[in-house]
Amino acid sequence: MLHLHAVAPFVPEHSVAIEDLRVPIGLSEAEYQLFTRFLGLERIATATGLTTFDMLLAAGREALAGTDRSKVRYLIHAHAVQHVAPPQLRLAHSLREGLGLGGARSFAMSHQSCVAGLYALKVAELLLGAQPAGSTALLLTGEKIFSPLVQHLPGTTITGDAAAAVLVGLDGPGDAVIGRAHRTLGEFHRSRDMPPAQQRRYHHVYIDALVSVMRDAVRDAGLELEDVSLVLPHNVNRFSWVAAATALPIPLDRVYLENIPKFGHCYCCDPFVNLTTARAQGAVHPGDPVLMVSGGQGATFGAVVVRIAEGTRRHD
Amino acid sequence: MPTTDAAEIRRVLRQVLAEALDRDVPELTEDLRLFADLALDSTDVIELLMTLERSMGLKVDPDGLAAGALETVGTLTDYIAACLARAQEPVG
Repeated sequence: MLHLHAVAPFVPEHSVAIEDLRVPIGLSEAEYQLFTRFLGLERIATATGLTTFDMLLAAGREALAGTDRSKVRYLIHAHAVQHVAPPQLRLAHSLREGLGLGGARSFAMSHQSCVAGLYALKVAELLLGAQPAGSTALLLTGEKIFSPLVQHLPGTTITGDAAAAVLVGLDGPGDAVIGRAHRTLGEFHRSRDMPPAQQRRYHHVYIDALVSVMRDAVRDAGLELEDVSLVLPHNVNRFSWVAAATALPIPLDRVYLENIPKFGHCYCCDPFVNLTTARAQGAVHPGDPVLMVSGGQGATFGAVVVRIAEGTRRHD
Repeated sequence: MPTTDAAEIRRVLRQVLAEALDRDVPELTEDLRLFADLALDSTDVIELLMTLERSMGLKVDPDGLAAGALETVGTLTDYIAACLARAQEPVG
């Protein structure tokens, strides 16, 4: 069973009000009202002067602090946007060097959009199964928003800069992964390039698909929905989570929505950032099963049930 | 005082929609789906609601809106009627 030994987010201190992004990303008045009044977004995390490499390196160092780096067999960079750095940069390799993980193999994975971070947990668990006991993997999630083209998802969200590092192993200590479900609806693979009718169909099935994968993950953990103490979602917008909570149904106060107005949607690292801040705020407690959930363009859906451990390293 | 009568709300909805979309809108029946049948997107609906806020004096509650109000003309009409009824309740 996979355990999260340490979860370390990197969220920049600086953020920008959506009001100030109206011109740079070209928001109409109606869309500005949509985002701020109806979708629950207010400010967007902005890592001015930093690169994806800088953010991932900082998070990785925090997650590895005080641990035996020789046990790290894999460094996995999970990202949502397919091209996050020029090819010659060899980002995963550079991160391995920068973090002193000479005994680890490094690679990146995408094509799961904003579910890539949660999906990488599954990949890490499978890979570690073939390694000696005590081996670990370092999962790095997140990326810098490099263009307005990937910052503004019309009618849906505005993305921000953030990253998270997760050190995982098959042995404890740490939060235990006790259930998961993943699903891809390939007919929507063209994402923003879909014709309008297909876009509408995607919006129509989105909540049902999200709710379905949440139910499947809870069932995989041998639990019932009412056992889940908190849902740690992606931060795409508040509106879709109110709809999901209604559809499940679960009380809205069991969905952690604190970070949506503070950071915006930070691609595939949202659930990990939310796990950390929820823990720091005392919103989760040892023994609680929590449900980390994400959905991505393309169209991917993933949910992972984690049982909160006593004494997991905190990075508040 | 704005009406909370469903037929009257549908009539106003149709008029505002036609103006907002700059195209003919069919007669609105309760079971018409906003996204699939009327080909609206979320920005269209928000523009529509903001216009109704100005013209009918309703105050939109976004969380209430997310809980199924945007499925059909009927659910949206019920939602608008409830918002209008709340707006007309005496205060104090």
